[in-house]
Amino acid sequence: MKAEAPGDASPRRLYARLMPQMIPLKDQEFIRQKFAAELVGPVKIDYFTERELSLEVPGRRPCAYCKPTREMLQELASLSDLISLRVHIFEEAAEERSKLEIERIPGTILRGASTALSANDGAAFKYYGMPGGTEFPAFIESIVDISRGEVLLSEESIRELKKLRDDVLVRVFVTPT
Amino acid sequence: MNEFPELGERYGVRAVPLTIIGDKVAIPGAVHESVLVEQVLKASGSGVGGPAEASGPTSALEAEGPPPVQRGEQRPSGLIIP
Repeated sequence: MKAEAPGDASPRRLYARLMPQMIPLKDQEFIRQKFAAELVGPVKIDYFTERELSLEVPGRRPCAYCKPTREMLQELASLSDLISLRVHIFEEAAEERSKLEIERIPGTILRGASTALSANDGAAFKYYGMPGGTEFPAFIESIVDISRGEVLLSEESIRELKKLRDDVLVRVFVTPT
Repeated sequence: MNEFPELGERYGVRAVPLTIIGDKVAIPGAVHESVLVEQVLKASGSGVGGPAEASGPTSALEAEGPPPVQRGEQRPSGLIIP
């Protein structure tokens, strides 16, 4: 999705000004400039969500954060040509969710082109839930890190981790405030 | 945590951030990267330093029998806090 220049009076820009934004316009501009300055390589975002229905279906557990997360990711993807977003309906994307090992929704995977962070088709960074509140800045930085293919660990840590022979799952529990 | 309370219950999460490595070890708060690296290597059994501490079940969800003697605190969920 292409980024829009400030002062652009296109219908899309006018629509964006009229509709409520997940990310305030002022913050979007800051992030757009940050991405322009710091992104190096492409970042692929795969987002898994539910099919949005206008009806309430008995027995169907609603995903309260699925829609706002999708809207937020769409806004983020519009801020740089290096970011691409694919939205998958969890129930209908069995092959994709199996390949990317997505277990629940909302589920987001960030993958870069650099082999330093992503091994073959493996996911580089997986986030379940909405990366909002205090988690939002860290999510932005994750996009930048993946784009740049940089590993921020020390040389010693990298040397030690190269001893790994099996996959290790690391989960971090957070609460956005 | 607030979006997936069932996961919080499964792992006995009482405070965040909480890092769970390989379903074996739980690290509360922020720690030095050397601690994380050490625990990741121990969880994989790839060998680092002395003998592995976790000699019992490999999954916190399927603990059976008496818990092994561990250095550090072991939670009811089976996770070990180093």
